[in-house]
This record gives sequence, C-alpha cells and structure tokens, in this order.
Amino acid sequence: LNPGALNNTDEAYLIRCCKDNSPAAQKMLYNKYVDSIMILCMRYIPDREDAKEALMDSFFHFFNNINGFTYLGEGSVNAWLKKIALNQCLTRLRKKRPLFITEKEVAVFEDAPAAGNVHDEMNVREIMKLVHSLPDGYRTVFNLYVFEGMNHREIGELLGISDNTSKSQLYKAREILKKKILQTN
Amino acid sequence: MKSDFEQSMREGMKGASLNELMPEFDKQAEWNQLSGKLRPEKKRILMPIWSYAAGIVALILAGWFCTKHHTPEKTLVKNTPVQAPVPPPINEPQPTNQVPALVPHSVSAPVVKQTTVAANEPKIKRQGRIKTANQSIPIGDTGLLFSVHLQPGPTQLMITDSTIIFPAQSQPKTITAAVKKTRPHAVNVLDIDNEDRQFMITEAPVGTYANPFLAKLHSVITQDAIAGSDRYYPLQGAFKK
Repeated sequence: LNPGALNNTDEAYLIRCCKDNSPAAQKMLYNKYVDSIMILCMRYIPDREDAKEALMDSFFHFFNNINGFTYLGEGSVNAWLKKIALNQCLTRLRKKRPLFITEKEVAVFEDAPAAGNVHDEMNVREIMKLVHSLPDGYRTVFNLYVFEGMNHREIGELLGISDNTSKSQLYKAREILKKKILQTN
Repeated sequence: MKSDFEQSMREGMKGASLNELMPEFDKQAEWNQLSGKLRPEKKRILMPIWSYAAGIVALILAGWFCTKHHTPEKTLVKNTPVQAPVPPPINEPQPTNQVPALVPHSVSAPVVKQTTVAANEPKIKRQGRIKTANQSIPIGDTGLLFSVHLQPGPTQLMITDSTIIFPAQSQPKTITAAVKKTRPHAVNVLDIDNEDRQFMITEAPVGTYANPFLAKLHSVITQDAIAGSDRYYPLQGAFKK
C-alpha cells in the first residue's frame, strides 16, 4: 500500500485500502460519509448523544465487516453504510421500548392529508423538529417511507409488522405533521 | 403515492448539512474515538518490582518445602521392597571349607538370646554334631554348636552370651567358642618360598594407567624385573596376563 496514493478518492481504491486496514483510507471514507450518516441517525433518534453512538457503531461495524463488502459501483458504499446505520438506529430504538404497541388498525386512507409545500417555508431544522415531534413508531415508518423510499411491504418486513399497520402508522404521522404545520402557520 | 408535502420534506433534507443541524458535532473527535475502537492499543502489563521479589521468595520456599519433605529414607521405604529374612537352617553344621587355609582365626562366641530352660544337672558338651536331638538345644548360627544335655529336675539353667549361669547350687561355667577344626591345606615348598614374592610383584590395578604407553612400559619393566629374578615361580600366577 502506497500512502501517497491515498489522495486518490476513488471509492473502489479506498475500499481496497480499507480492506488492508489502512487508517488513512478509513478516515477518508469516514469524512466523506459522516455527514449524511449522522443526519440519518438524527432523523431516527432524537437524542443527539444516542445518535452519535449509533453513528459510531455504524462506522465501527462498517470497517470491521468491510472484507465482506463487494464494491458494485458508485453509490454502493453509501447504500451499504446507510443500511448499516438504519439497522443500528432501529436496534437502539427497540432497546429503549417497543416501537409499536398493538392497537386497533385504523382505516387506511390512500389520500393522505397534504400539508402543502413546506420546502419554501421551513428550513432543515424545522423539518427535523417536526420529525422529532412524532412518536417513535410513527417517526420510524414516516422516515422509512418518505426518506428511504420504502413501500409498506418492505417496511412491514423490516419492522416485523403488517402492511396495514405500516399504512396506519404513516397516516397518523401525516395527520400529526399537518396539525403542527397548521399551528405553526 | 407520496404527496407534495413529503417530497418537499425529502428535498429539503437532501440539501441539509450537518453543520446547520448540529454545529457542535466534532468530526475529528469522533474519528479519534472510532479509531481507538478500531485499533485498541495493546496495554503492556508492567509488573511491580515487589512481584519479582515475591516470586523469588516463593521459589525458595517451595524448594525448602520439597527438600524437607522429600527425605532419602522415605524414598528407600517406598522404592525398596522389603524382603523377609531367611532363617538359617537349624541343626545343620556350616561347611568347613568356608574357612580359608593357613589363615588363623580367632572367633569369639556368638551372642545368643537369653534362654531359660529347666535343668537339674546340666552337662555341657562341645561337639560338631548333635547326637541326641531330643535332649539337646542348639545355639548359634555360625557353625558353633553347643549341646546342653539336661536332666529332669526343679532347677533352672540360664544361658547368656555363651555363659551358662547355673542356679545357686552350682558355680557358673564359662564356655568359649572355638572354630571347628579343619583339614590342613597342603602347601608346596615353593609356595612357601614364594610368599614374600607376592609383595615384590606389583601389578598395576585395572584403570591405573589411562595412557597405553605408560601401561605398556609398566608391563615391560615388571616382566623384565621378574623374569630376571631367579626367585620367580609362576605357580602363584603372578603373570596371568
């Protein structure tokens, strides 16, 4: 391993160096993805210290298991890291208390209440504050559906709930957000 | 189907920066912590000086303990099988050829056990063989046989260290043991003359000369000196080699 060649930011090369346990390559990958992974953790875990620990555990798991990772092209590192971080966050949330309490499923409305275009009106902090205002179960389903782009079947498989429960949780999350946005306005 | 609200939120979060959300987040500090977890330093265990001294003292104590509790007597008892002593044959005289010829012997009486027998008028005979086994008591195991002929009576006879102590009526008599007479060995006149020669002829014991040259020299000198002597008689086997 040539330390001078670490200036090459090619992800494939960085991954190869990380497999050789190169601290410099690990630091480069860390600096490249720490922001996005930390934001992801903060979306799921409102407590900042817990989010930091989830971030730490995510990178630790990533570097320790990097020999089992196969580089498949641009974005594969980001996808794998996000998957690891998501699992770490869900594990932490489950440790605190059960994410979902068995409850009577409400009728699922496909046409969820829209709250208008908030992009121009709210900054990132306010969006994060809104997300954090949701209960854990609602917030998790909302994050998975809106920010991770999963469908209800995938969410159900990941969280161990039914599709309808996922839909119900998303519906309630939207209602809460709508109320909060209206109150803010 | 995602609403515009959700798409707006997602796009709003895409452009989010960590500095805006969490300005106090220190990347370098977090990296240092992560790096420490990835490569934990191997802590060298430093033993204090007193631990070495304690180890030496423990070794000394262990050695002393083993030495004290591991005596040769115990080993002998453990490893050597105990053989029962074979009692000597009774009423059998020792072979006479055990006494070498022409060697004067002075044998004292053997120590015998204190024995008390009933006797009235004891008669003590010195003999090589016991003639009347019913009325005799053999004593000793070195070929010296005593035969005490007893007469029935109320008195008692005590035999101690070859001394028979009689009761009050009689005086104690001392018995001195003697070697049984052996047949005299035939001695050649030449042998008698050659007795002095044994001291003149010196043979180097085995292993005296490690150097073969010195051994050969000794052999030549000795043989020449003896061969030149007119008093040399080969009957003694001085030169067996």
